[in-house]
Amino acid sequence: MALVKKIFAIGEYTVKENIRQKIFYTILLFGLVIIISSVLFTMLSGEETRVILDIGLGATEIFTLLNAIFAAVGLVLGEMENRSVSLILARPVRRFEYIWGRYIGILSISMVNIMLMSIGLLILLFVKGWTLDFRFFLAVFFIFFKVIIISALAILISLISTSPISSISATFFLWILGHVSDHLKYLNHVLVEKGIKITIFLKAIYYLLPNFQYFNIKDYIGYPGSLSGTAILWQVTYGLVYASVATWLSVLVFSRKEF
Amino acid sequence: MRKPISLVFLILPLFFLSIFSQHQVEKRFRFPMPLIMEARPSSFLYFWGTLLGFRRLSSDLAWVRLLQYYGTLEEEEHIHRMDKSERGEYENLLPMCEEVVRLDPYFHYAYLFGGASLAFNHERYDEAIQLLREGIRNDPKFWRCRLYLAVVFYARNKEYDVAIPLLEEAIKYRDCPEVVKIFLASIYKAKGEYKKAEAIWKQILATSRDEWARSVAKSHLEGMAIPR
Repeated sequence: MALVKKIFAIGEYTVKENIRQKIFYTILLFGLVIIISSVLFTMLSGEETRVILDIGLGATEIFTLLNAIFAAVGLVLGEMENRSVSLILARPVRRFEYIWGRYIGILSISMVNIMLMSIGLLILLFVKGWTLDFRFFLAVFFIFFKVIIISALAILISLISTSPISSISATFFLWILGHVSDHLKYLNHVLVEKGIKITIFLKAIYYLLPNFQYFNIKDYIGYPGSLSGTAILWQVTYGLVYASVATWLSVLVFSRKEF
Repeated sequence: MRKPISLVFLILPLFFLSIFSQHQVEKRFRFPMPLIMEARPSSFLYFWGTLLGFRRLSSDLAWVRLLQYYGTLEEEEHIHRMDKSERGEYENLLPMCEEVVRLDPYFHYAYLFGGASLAFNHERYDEAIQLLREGIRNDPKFWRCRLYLAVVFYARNKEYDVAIPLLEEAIKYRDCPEVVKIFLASIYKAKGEYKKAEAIWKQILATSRDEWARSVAKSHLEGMAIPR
């Protein structure tokens, strides 16, 4: 119980710290402005609700991602650089509690971000006469899962790298790779046809990289087929397990650091 | 602090569980979009959109670009001078439609709009058939593509009496492109059934939010007023 209390105390501290920073408001405001301005874009396209939905979900995802990355890199790496982490670790806080607390704090602030933007988007969609679709909520839910994974990876990368720019770039790179990891199968197929056999190597990369397409339900909204409950359950399991692997790896790296 | 070795024993089983769960997801879920190589985006914007996981949004952008292309001066000429020789050709209409639906194969309206425009505005029936067939291949359950395809076949053979009931059925749907209504009205006009044609033009003028469709309807109504 004491352990959970400590983790949540650090999480709360992370949330407060993030809220105090101007970048949080800037990102949130910018996201909401983009969502609202999607109405202007619909004048060009005709397909009103589709465009608002796509821009809105896209803005929700990208701005939450930005906030999560900046929080993970800024707070964790920043605290290590200015040595203020020593002050926290001097208290009866274990290193894994610190990392998990930070992680939960980042996820909490991301959840608030997603909820605020989704509510704004829903209001806009209803004003435009949109009929409620269950997949909207699924899409939002899975945007949060993408953030769960990328935040864990951002913390891990910020612990490994030496500068904020390199960690932000590496995290973005992983974000892109996570959306095209399915292409590794195609690459393997092409290489095998040409007589180059590096299947094991490609498979290893495939399993090491996160697969964000499992959570890309916002691109799946117009798909006529249904998504089974078991598939959703396994997607959730995959997301949680992958994120916990990354977070425990962060704990491992952090436990070996000297301050 | 936990010892690193105990952490390794914790991480390894979790990693294998992640691989196992990934296998389970793959058995049950397949991302229903073509690979980037198949979509062949023409612009870096769509390419990056796809890389960042915004396929539908990229398709929307391609769609807006298509509408801008289809709403240029060539289109204006088409509105005011219905003479075939004066019509804009819009040679890129099919490739642009194909790009939209390859980025998002479930963008149903793009098939309907593209197919109808190619067939009924430009009499490029083969291209319309090609696009509508792609729509049927990507979503066999989307029956409206089949309806449009049937109409395009009839229109190609000038069997207007067979096409009229099909088009009457199609215009009842909310998402029916205005171009289909325009085509139906044009058929009625060609057959000398002016009242029916006039009713459709008036309906377009009153209800459509499509500026182009309204201007077409207006010019037709003005044109029809002279001989009567």
